[in-house]
Amino acid sequence: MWIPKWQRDRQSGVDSPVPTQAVSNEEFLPRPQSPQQRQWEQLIGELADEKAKKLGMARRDFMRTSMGLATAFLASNLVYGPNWDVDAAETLEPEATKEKFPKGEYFIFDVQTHFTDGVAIGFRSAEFVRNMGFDLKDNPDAYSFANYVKEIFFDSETSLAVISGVPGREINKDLAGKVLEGRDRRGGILPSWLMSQRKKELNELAGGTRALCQGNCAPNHYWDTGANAPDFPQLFEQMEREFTKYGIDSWKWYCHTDPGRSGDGFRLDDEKITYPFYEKSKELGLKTFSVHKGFASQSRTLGHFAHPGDIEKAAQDHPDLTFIVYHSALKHGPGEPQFQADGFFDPTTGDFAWHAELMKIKERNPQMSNVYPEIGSSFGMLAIAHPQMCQHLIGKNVKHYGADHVIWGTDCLWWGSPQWVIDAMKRFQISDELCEQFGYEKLTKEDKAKVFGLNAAKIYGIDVTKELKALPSDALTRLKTAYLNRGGQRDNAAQGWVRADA
Amino acid sequence: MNRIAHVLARAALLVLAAMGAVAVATMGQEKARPARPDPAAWGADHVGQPFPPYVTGDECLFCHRDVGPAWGQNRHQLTIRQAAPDDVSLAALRELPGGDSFADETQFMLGAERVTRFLKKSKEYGKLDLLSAAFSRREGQLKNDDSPAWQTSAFADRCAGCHATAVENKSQAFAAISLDCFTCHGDVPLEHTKDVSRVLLSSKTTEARKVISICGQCHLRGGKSKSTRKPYPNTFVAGDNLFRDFEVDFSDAAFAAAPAIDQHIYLNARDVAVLGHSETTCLNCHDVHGQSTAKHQDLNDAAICSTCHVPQTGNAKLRDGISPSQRLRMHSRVCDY
Repeated sequence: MWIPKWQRDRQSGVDSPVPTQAVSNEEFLPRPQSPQQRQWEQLIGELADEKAKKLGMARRDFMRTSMGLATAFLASNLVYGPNWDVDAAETLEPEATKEKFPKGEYFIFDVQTHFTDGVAIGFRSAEFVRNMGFDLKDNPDAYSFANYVKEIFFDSETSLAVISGVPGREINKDLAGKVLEGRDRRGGILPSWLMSQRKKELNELAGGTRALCQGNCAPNHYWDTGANAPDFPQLFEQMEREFTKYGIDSWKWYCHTDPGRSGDGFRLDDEKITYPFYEKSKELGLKTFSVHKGFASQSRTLGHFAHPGDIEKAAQDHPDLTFIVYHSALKHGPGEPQFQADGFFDPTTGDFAWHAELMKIKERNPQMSNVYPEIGSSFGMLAIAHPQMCQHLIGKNVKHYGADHVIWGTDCLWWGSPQWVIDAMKRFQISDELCEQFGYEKLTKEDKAKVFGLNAAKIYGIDVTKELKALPSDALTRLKTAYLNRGGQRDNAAQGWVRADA
Repeated sequence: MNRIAHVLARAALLVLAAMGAVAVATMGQEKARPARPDPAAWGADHVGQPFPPYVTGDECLFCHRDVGPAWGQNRHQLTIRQAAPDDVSLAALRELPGGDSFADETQFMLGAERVTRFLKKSKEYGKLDLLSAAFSRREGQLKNDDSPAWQTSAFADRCAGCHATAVENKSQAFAAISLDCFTCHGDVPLEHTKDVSRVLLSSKTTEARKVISICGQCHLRGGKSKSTRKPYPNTFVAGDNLFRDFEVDFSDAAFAAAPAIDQHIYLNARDVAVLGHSETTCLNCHDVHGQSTAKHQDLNDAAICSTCHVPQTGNAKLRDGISPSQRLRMHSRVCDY
């Protein structure tokens, strides 16, 4: 028998603020929890019950507090091992958490945030995310810009966010040659024109810089089928438009997609197709390239273009450009069957596909300093599904690229409000065993501060001191305060379906 | 001589009389039949026009992440596949004089069950060159390998329509290799997330005529475009009426000549397109994304089942000469799948 996850949670006394199992979206049979997941969830319930009673609180209310979150991480440690920095005191005293992680300790700058152009896209009913600790409704409102502002800025500690692009290209002119504007330009679920518009609205509302935006334009988006080559006049026209009119702060590329029907993806090191784009971008004055690498199943036939192997030459040939490698090139997420396949992860080396290739690039080129691994989705997903791999992800990123080159991103609001990922990073640590065996360094608070925002701020030219000074008085902060004062908070109800018996 | 001539003349008269009787009887039957709908009478088409802009599969998969991981092994995705360097067919190619260069140049392969063909990208947009030599998987050897050569138009003329996406009528250039989501689901607007009926072949859009047109664009093997005379449709966009330009011989004789795998498709297409039935379509039995035929069991003893199964046996028995393995290996005059 299936029942909604939230219903079972309430019956069994668990309103977990972090995911504890994969939950079905009704399109597949819910998988039974693993014994560890079951144990974890049961522990969360038992501990929460005990602590809520002690504090005279309703359990649900307790789970929405920082004490509830601490309880979930504590229970995880009891089951999976000491992966998270959490003290028992934090489960009973909010002050203990505040003391340990003072408010505003980190400047959180999330370079990978999204919303959609009024459509629901099903992420919140994906297997992995159905049990997030928020109200994960899967309707257009849940993906809307209004909810984006609520979940990114009100429900989390994020101070600055990059509205990050998705695959899609704009149609510049209609058949009569008239230049199109706004929605007529199409461009998919989050087109460049819309990112730009919302960035401006948000910053005007805040009275400061709270959002940056990316442009989706890429080398294969406008194609001359006669010459079988990029249509450079059209391409450059769109680039100029995105830079000058939209005011984009970075390009966002998906080499493994072909929305312009060029017949292929493109490589970062393709001298004929991609290098002219770099040159044009330099001419415009935009030198930041955010490139999706990994999650190869997102393409029908071009997944191999999501391999990070093309970064090496491109980065070396263009030392004046910055390449941010999104997802740290994690090839498959925990929701994909390939994640469990033999050879995907080698615990003896800590390598996993294609992250290991990204690490080797830096090993071969220690002098290369313009490549930055970003951890959106990969950190959050691995933190929940495979804490050991998560430690390798961060351990190797820091070991090879340096703590000053790892970039914070969450891919939210696909996965709800990013606060649970922020909390996970705050409490994240690499075990003594892995440090000893693989030569990783423990992450210090200084390292985390860099990862959380200081590194990205350097790339985007953000003066953090100035921003932090301006934040308390900006309109968004005032709205957030009002929201919190009126009892605004996240909802831990999970919307998916699970087995009633397991 | 007279006697022989008389016997022959009498026999001839008898034959003629019999033929006349059959003709009269047939005419009588035809008069009794209800008028058949014109398969080309409904809907619209894009024949001869350029393909409209559409959302590409990679954009679809960005959201539909439940589809992506398994799609790589779907038969509709593998109409063209990346050449595997260690494939036995490439090893055979390398044994030919000068075969190494053909093997090295091969980027894609076509056909997995019976015959494998070798392909490489053409210099032209949306074209693939096809190697004249083919590899028979049953026999484990090359065919037509006397003087192999890359052919520039063979793929576009014969294969592109069903092995690639959005083949333009004039240039015969395709937009993407293998079958993009667009091929079956059409130009899906963003609003489909609020209204699933905007997606063809979704749970809410199973109109029999459209389903038959969509599947029939490739699975009605032996059909021809009236306008191009090619064995695939001219600018078919899912949702169009295939039969406005695509000519299919639905005669009993054509049925009889076709292998069972084609017979059941012809039978179903005729039921829907010509006879106006709508109870049964491809979707009743085929789960394309799941690659499952579990739904076969739902159509117990329907007429279409009798092309392979013995009626009145609950489809438990296959007709003589039909087995799942044979059925998959039966190929038409056009191609193999």
